[in-house]
This record gives sequence, C-alpha cells and structure tokens, in this order.
Amino acid sequence: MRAALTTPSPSTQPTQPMGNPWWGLLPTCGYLLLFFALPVGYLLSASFRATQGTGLDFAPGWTLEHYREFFSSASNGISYLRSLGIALATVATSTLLAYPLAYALAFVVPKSQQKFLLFCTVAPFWTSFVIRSFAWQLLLAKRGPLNGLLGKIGIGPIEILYTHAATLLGLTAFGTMLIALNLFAVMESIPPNYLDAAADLGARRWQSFWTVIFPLSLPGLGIGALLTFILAFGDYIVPTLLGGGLRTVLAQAMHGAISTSFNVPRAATYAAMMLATILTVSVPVLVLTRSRQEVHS
Amino acid sequence: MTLVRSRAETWMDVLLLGGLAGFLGILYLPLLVVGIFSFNSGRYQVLPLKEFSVQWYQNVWRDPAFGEAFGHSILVGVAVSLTATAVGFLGAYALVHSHFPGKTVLSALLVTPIAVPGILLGIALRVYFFRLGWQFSLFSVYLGHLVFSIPLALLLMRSRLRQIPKSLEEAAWDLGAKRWQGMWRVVLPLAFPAVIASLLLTFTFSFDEFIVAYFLTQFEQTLPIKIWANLITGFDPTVNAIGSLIVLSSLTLGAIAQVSLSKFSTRGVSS
Repeated sequence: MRAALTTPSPSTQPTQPMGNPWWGLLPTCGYLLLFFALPVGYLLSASFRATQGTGLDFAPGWTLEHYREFFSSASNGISYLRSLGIALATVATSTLLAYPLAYALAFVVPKSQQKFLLFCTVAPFWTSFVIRSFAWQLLLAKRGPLNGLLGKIGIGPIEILYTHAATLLGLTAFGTMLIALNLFAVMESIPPNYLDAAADLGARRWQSFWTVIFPLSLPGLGIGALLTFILAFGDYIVPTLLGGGLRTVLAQAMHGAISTSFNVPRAATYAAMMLATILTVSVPVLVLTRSRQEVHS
Repeated sequence: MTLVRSRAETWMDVLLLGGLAGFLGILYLPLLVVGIFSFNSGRYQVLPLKEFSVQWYQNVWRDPAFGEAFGHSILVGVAVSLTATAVGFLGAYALVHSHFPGKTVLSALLVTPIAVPGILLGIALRVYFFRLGWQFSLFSVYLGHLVFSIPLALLLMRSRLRQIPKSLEEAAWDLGAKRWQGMWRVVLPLAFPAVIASLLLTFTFSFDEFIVAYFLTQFEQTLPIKIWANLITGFDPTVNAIGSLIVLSSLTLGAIAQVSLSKFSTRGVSS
C-alpha cells in the first residue's frame, strides 16, 4: 500500500544516507571537558593536597588535613550553616510567594494580558544581577528612600541593610520569579477539562487547587526550587552588597581564601563542600521530579 | 469555563491580582529608585532629592574608564554569543538526530555547568589557567563565559529543533543535498527564532556576568567589574546613570528576544 503510493524517487539515493551526526557533539563535549570538567576536577583534587610555600606549590602526597580543619573550625561551620540557612529560607519564602503569583498568572489574569504580564515578571531576569542588588542597597540604605518613608509615617528608620534579612530579601525577589515561572509552565499545561471535571463534581476553587493543580505542579516546583537553592547557596554578590562583609557566607569564605592568601587547597575544600551539598540536594529532587513526570504523562 | 464563582471567590481573584501587582511593584521599585537618583544632583543617595541634573550621565560619557569597560563587555559578549550559538546549534542538532548508548546521561551532564555556582567556576578556572601559566585577559573571560553559555544555547536550540519535522530535511536529502547543505539551508532557517533568542540570551548573560569575569581578568575590566569596583570603593552616583542605561537596554533586548521566541508558536512548522 505504502510502496504503491510513494513516487519513484531518484532511486540511487536511500532516504537516510547520512548516518548518525554524533560528531556535532564533539565541540561541545571537547570544550566542556577542557574548560569545565578538568578545571573543576583539578580544583577538587587540590583540596587533598598540602601546600608548600604559596599557591600551587604542593607538597607530594595526599592529605585530609583541610577537611579536618574545615570541620573543626567553628567559623567555617558557621559560614556553611549560614549559607545553608539562607538558601533554605529563600526557597521556602519564594515558594510561598510563587504559588499565588503563578496561579494568578495562569488562571486569573485575562488571557489577553497574560503574555504581557508574564514578560513583566521575566524581564528583571534580563538585567544585570549586580545592578539589581545594588538597587536594593540604595532602596534599603539607612538614610535611603525606604527609611525616609518609614520615618515620615512614624515607624522610624529600621536597620535592614547589611543584615541577613536584606540578603534574604534580595535573593527571594529572584527566587520567587524563578519558581513562579516553572510553576506557571506546568499550571498552564493542565488541560482545562481537569478543572471543569473537578468543578462538576462540586469542588470549590481551593479544593480543585489542592487536589488537582497542586499535585500536578510538583515537578515545576522541584526544578524551580532546586535552581533557587543553588543560586542562593552559591551566591557571592547579594550577601556582599546587601548582607555586608562581616557575617561571611560560604561563597565569601571561598573568595577570601583565594583573593587574600591564594590558599588554593582551602578554597578547594570550600568548593568541594559546596558541590557536595548541591549534589546531595539535586539528586533526590531530580529523581522525584522525574518519577512524578512519568506518572502523569 | 463553566465555573460559577461565588462571592468569596471573586474576592479571592481581586486579592490574587493585587498580590501580582504588588510583586511586580516590588520588583521594579528598586530599579525605579536608581532611575530617579540618576537624575538627582546630590552626591549622597538620600531624600529629599536635590535639583534635576544630567551630570551623572555626562560623567558616563566623559569618564574613559566606563567607555572602555563597556567596549570590553560588548566585545566579549558578541564573541561569546556567536561561538556559543554555533557550537550549541551543532550539539543540539546531534542530540536530536542521533542515537547512541548513554545519550540521556550525556545530555544531563552537558547541562551541569549551568547548575554550578559562578564563584566556583571562576575560582576553578583561575587556578587552572594559573597552573597552565596562561595570562589573564579578556580572552580568558571569553573562555570562562563559554562554559555556561554553550549549554544554555544548546538547551534553547534543542527544544526548537525537536519541533522541526525530520521529513523536511529528508526531503532535501532526497533531492541530493548533503548533510551540511540540509543543515544550512533547511534546519537553520527553520530554527531561526531560536538562533536569535540564543544570540541575545547568551550575549546578555555574558554582558551582565560578574563573578567569573572578576576572577579571570587582570587589567582589562568589563562593565560589571568596573561597577563593582565603584560600589565597593566609595560610592559614585555615576553608577546610577550607568545602571539605568543598562537596565533600559537589557529590557529592550529582553523584549526583542521574547518576541522572537514567541514566534515558536506562530511561525511554526509543526506537522
């Protein structure tokens, strides 16, 4: 039947003469091997070396000394826990804010406005991270506009700049966008008749949210929350501009180890702790997200 | 929808829309404050405002260091976006059109550079280049920015290439086209919106990127590094002016990319 319908082609050429174009991946793989895998691998290996003099002048042999130092020093532990606490708090607040936001974008705003409002939410992604953080700095400053306003209505100036609260605020603005976008993508793809069915069965709005929308949104939440965690956990810019330099987070400790003393093994140990934490968080989240997607598709 | 809304639910709608407006307000308020202060003649960033003035914009124009840093950022951004888009296109094409064992694992691994914090990447590359004895320059910034730009371009283009029916390229082969001719004359034009989006996105990421560049350059500053230096060592209101300019141009580029990306659905070739 099919053979009868096909027009005779210039029959010397088969339809797929080309084979696998796997070679197209060579530049990407080669580049990432040379400038990502090797540098990161080399840095991690440096965490097991002992310094001799300065910089990359390592003593022969391997050592766990830097890890022992990391776990026995209170200031390292506190930096690490600060980063972890800030990252978890950012994810939690961002998630709470992102749900109503994504719901409003997906189901409440008029369809004609949806694209525009979505663009307005994404647009700040496009502006420089340094400038956005510095803009918060300006707004929150001790004698800045926010405190000017608060002073006028009598709540008085509050000292928020250079505290962890300011760091959290700056990171949450970003995290909320990131999570809301991912939630919006999954919410929008929910077939409307699911919601109609729930309504026909007598579900009120909040019931259809909890029983239909929320469970279906979990893969989006997983990805958005993971990206937010990584960003907040490893960020250097916001903790420095908004949190100040005194109560250091892990990224700042890492920066200090390199730029003040070029102590590569120490910076490498911080890096290893950072990567290990990100990996520990990512793997279960990705596995859960993937299994959920498979259940629902 | 056939939903009948009760009064309470209508109030809920109003509340949700109010929340959305409030969030957008909070996102844009700090940027607006920067814009306002950029026209304020006072040296200190405090209320009440002094007179209207464009002196900080004139400063941007006059200070050669800003112009130079701007030029460096443009140079690196253009080079990064062209390279990443070309390499990413090839990679995405290969991922979509070929099968080999371990493909799923490989495609997951290729995305990991996006999930590694910038400071870690910056330090790893600094140590690596130092070890190799390379000079730190704009070229090392270019190499560093490619690490996260290539996966980004690849992801963007892979999702577009998946939508293009393979039969179109096969038709070209039937007519005697070679592999590269099919890629160049059939696939690339159909992937055009994604190519534009990838060029713009990777350019913006590179142009705005601070921490990797900070660790990889020595004398030639990029714009974010120049701004950072200005912020850390005594504030100069010129930063307000340059910040406002960057925000405006980023938003414009973002709008262009958005429009070109939304052509995915309209100028589609879905079978």
